[in-house]
Amino acid sequence: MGEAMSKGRRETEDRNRPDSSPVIQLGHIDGKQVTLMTGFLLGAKVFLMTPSFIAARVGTSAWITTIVGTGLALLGLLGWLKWANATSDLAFVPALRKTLGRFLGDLLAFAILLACLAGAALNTRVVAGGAVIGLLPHFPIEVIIAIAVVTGLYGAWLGLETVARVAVVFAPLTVISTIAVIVGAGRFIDLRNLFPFWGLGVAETIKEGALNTGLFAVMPSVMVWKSYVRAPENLSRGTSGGVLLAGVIVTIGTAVSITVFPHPEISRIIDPLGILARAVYLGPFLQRLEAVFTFVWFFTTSVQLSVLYIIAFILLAQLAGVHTYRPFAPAVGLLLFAGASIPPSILSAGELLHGILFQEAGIALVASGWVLYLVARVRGMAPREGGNPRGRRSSDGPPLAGKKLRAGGKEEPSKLGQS
Amino acid sequence: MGRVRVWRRSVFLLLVLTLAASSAGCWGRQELENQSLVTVMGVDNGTDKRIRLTARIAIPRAAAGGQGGSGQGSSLGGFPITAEGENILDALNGLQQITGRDVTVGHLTILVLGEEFARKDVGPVVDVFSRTLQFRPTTLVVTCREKAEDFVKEFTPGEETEPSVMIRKLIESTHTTLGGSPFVSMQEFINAYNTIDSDPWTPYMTLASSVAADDSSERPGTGEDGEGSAQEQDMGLGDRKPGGDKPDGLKVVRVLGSAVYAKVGDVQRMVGTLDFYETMAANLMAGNLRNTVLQMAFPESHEEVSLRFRHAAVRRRINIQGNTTYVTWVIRLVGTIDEIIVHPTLEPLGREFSDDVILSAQEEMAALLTKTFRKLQSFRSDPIQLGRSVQMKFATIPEWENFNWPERFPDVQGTFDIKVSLLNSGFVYRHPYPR
Amino acid sequence: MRPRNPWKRLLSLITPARGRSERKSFSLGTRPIHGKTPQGKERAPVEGTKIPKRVKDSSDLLKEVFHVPHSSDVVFREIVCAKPAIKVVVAYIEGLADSNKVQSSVLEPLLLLSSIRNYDAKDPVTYLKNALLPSGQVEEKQSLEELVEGMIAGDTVVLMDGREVALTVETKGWEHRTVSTSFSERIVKGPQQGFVEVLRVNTAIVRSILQSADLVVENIDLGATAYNRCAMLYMKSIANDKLVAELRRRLKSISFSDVLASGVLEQMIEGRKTLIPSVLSTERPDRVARFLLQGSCAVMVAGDPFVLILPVSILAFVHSPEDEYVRWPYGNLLRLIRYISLLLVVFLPGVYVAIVDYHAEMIPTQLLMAIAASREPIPFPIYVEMLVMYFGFELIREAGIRIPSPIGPTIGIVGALLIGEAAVSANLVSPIMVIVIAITAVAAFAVPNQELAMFTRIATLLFIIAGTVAGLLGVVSLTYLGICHFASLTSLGVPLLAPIAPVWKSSFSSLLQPAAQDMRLRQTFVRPKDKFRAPDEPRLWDIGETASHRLRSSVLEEKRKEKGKTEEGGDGGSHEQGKARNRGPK
Repeated sequence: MGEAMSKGRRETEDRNRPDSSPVIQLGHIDGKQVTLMTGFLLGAKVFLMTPSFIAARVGTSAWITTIVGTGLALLGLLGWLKWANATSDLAFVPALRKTLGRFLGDLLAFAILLACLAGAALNTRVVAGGAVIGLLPHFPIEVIIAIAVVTGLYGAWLGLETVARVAVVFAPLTVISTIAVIVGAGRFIDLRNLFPFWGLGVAETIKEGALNTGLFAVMPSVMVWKSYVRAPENLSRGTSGGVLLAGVIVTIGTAVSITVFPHPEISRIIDPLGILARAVYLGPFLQRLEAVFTFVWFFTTSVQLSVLYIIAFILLAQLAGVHTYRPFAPAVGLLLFAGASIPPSILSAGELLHGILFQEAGIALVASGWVLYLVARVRGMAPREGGNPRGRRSSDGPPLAGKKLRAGGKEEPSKLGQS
Repeated sequence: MGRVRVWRRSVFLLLVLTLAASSAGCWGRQELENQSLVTVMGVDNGTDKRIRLTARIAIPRAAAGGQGGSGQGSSLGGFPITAEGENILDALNGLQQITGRDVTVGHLTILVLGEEFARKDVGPVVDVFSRTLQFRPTTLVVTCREKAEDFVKEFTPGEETEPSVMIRKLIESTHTTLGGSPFVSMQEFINAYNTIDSDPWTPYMTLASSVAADDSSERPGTGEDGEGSAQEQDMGLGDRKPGGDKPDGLKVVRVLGSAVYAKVGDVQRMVGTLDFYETMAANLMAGNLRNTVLQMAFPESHEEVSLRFRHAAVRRRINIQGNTTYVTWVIRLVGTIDEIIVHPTLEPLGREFSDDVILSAQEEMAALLTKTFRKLQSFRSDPIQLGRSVQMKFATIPEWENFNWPERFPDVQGTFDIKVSLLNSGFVYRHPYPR
Repeated sequence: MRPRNPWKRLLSLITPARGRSERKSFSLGTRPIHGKTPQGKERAPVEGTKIPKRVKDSSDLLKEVFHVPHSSDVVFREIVCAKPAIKVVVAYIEGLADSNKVQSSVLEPLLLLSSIRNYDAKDPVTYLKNALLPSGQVEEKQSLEELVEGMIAGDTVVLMDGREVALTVETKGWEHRTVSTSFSERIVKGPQQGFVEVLRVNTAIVRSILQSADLVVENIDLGATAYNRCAMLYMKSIANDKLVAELRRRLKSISFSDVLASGVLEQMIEGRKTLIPSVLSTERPDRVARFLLQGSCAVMVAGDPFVLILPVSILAFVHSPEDEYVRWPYGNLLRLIRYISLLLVVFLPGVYVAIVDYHAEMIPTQLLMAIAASREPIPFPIYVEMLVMYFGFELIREAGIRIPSPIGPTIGIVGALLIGEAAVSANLVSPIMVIVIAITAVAAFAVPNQELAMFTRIATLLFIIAGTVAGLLGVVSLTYLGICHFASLTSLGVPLLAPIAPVWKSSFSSLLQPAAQDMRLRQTFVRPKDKFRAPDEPRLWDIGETASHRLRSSVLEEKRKEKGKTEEGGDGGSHEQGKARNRGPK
């Protein structure tokens, strides 16, 4: 049988399928998985490197700022969730388009996509840089970047469900290794280092806390799962749990770093938890285990990268309105490789991450949920209660609506409701 | 369809694997037998502002049980080499020039600072340790009285085959059983170096003869703590004992106490030493003390009482009034009377005896602590991390920085509220006497 | 099919076909599956050859089919019956059919009893079937193919003159191994029985253990050229209907010339080509029974003592039935040891190479000295040393199986000892390397499942390579890739990592072994119809109550329920259930 013919036939078959709504069929995830994926997505990167950045600015009260930041991020998430509820069963990008109109909707989607990709690339750089300096000094950094990109990409390539399961598998490992590091560094922990309690001052702390909301810049991207969660309420429970989890992780990471490295010292160190892992002393023969911990954190980062990739894939596919995300994989991989190779040093990567992503832009992304919700309310989109698919074909949608909108991808609302 | 997918995936994986394999090409691979493991390293002043590094390179065959390696490392364990350089890495390169294998400092366990070097500036060491990741933050820092070169080259590892193991165990045991030396890793050293609320300190050691000292007074400790280090305080620090008593000239390491560092002018350097008991007192003030032994000469005819403290609870009460800081250490010690040297002709001790012991132990301890604290104040050095406790009184960092702790430290009024409780009374029905 | 253009194949890697979704395969979940449901279209059944009316023709045809006279074991016996005066040909395969049974249940009645028996029936077929042939299983067959199938299975065919119908009489009785202990999965405490090569014996063993009316044994035919039969077992009241239907569909839609072994069938029905097994094969009837009770299905292939169980969790491969037979702390200890050994066998050599080559600073100084000292006289880099030892060990293991059994174990031990010792003293490998490989080897034998053990052997090699290439980073990356891969696998629609990820509460196939009375939940991840083994407290005596036992049958229970509800609704239901039962145990 001719190759072209069979392929052609297959495509026609696909198109002619009765229920061939062009959705990326990734399967469904449950609330727990959403929580863990969100936790990995938001927690992992920050966990490894931000403590010193924050502490450099606010000193000993850095952990309070992370709590404030998490609270504000949760507030922002509430806006996004309300918006998600208001757009009922539409998939993420179509819902954005419906709310803001095609141009603005796509723009916002692109902004989130960019945040994901930039976050992924710079994180890869940071991790690879750390590995090179600390563990594999003779390795070219490009190879490590390539390995990191490929491992992360493979998980995403296998699909959303796979990524979710992988997150579940590696969560305990991450937790155990972190606890081991904290326990192992127990000799250095000195609670007195948490003082002076208010760091550079109360006002400064609160202000920095508000700025820290930017740490959760990629948070809106978890909304792309809205059409993939098993039951609608899983999304709100899962994501808020995930943001909370990430907040707890960041806070603990920061607090531990501060207790071990006294105030001016912590601002000198780029990767406090990495240094902490190096200083672990579980006994005369159980020291120098940081390679193990660091590599367990490689799992953490890989899961995080996989989550970022899958989000980027979904966004890309929904933006392009195609069935599958896989053709994007090589391109995204190359893009990330390039992006990760650009920053000349870890520090510059970290600063890029913080300067560009984690400040105003990040806050804007987190806060835009409320804007979307208000716009949606003004436009008269109904919250989900009715569970009717009216929103899908409502004529008062943006001009693109019609065919293109459906091509954007969504779930069958009735089926969603069942499960 | 499924078959094609699997095929694709396997090819993809294979491609990635071969790519990774061919591109990675085993860059960092380094066989063990090509590494010179530096386990003990000494830093000295070299000629004209240079740094002189002495490394004791481990000889695996000798350390692993001597099969086939006998005669190589001699009884010293390890192969000492010395090189000079502009800075530490330069000197390491110098070491590389005279060893066949790659000099690896990944296993550096003990860093020895010569006193002469330490009294100048420890900056270069701290810098290289915080920048070069190959150096370990868990490396223990030690200051030695003589030149580090002599120290590293000449000491005998004693019961151990590997010199670094011996020093590590020595520090650990003196720290945990007697509190006579601090246990300071590079991490803690750097932390203290970089902050204003505390200053670094290290164990202070010297080479000594391996034969026992002629002093026949009783020895505290369990015997594994460095060959009678306790009586060193009686002999005084300046009392150098040449190790020439024995024909083989074996030299052992003796813990003298601790070396205290402080910021003087622009540099951080060693400013003085504490002897063994003062170190114990400093450890007690820092809250690091677990066990210790206290000797007391009793005013009456019972000559000497040995108390072993098994638990110490330390709290600092800090009160800042204007420019003066008042610190009260609330110290609760739990111990036992382990040994009493009494005159054989005396009556057996009564039960009330322990009350006397408690009182005089409290006095003795307070005197020791006061003396040590005064000494530290005179050094203007705060290794006991008092600053960390004081800073808790401040709400924000600027206030704390304005307070200017290093300037205030010498004026701190320290008082000690000591309560000793004894688990036994020291009473035995009949103390042993010769028949 | 034409081989594909390699360039196109390469291209297709980066540009997968549009519209191909990630998940189109079978899934047990309630999640809506978009796109084509996996229920494929039925292929038209192959039409059978009609049996000729004249017995001469039909027996000639049958002889031709069996290549008589070239085939010597096929017996054709022409008889003339007395009562329905009719010419009959009896055909069977000698050896497959029990000659005593043929004698007593076919030949004797036809030859001797036909005249005595009094029965009114016009139709000779009915007469023979109902009155003459004293066998439990006599069936009417319409096509020649069915007759051939019957004969191959050991039945005796009775062809009658003038009828287009023939009878098969059950006379199976070929020589086989007697039921004995299982060879591959030995345990100390618990039942010792193992399966044999005969399908019917195996189903009987399972039924003898699992004495329930709800156990369904469905026969499904396999193979076109060499006919074989497999049996699909499940508990009607427990196993998910969707699951059973999917398995039945998969089994029935195997179009292959011959499927003679369970290992082949396994690959035919599992989801993807992958290193790790997703179907559990076992030799132990008790294990099969336990899995059936947990909602899994079992597939038996005639001629193979290994029974396939699916869906299973990946943990089932590391568990041994003994875990449950001993008290739970011991069971957990055994499990932990096995988990550790699994980790050891997969990771130890790779991690050893990685650490020694790349991360020497991680090794405690004194151990490092020991390793370095032992490495000094060795001329090879460590990975060469490792590979040499690895292949040497695999060689001994593989050779140990082939060597005649009396000297087999000896050669294994002697070979290992001698080669190891000699290699060490010749400075080819270091003693520590021997220890590493020895630990790995011993740990490999602690893995209870053959297939998983095979997987670990390959995985070990992969991890050695990864460790050599990129140190711990390689090991970690490979682990991540592997876990991703496993997470994407399913065993008959059930995620392979099931009770762990996604998280399911399950007391069976869980990470640790609960105490027997706490194992109240079935394998929830296979979504059994009845989740609970015991709804609440299983030990009623403990709360001062007693229970009366009666064997439960889901059909009868439902009937009772229906009767309680409405009278007329019961008819249709019972009819259907009756059908379901007919399909079942025959």
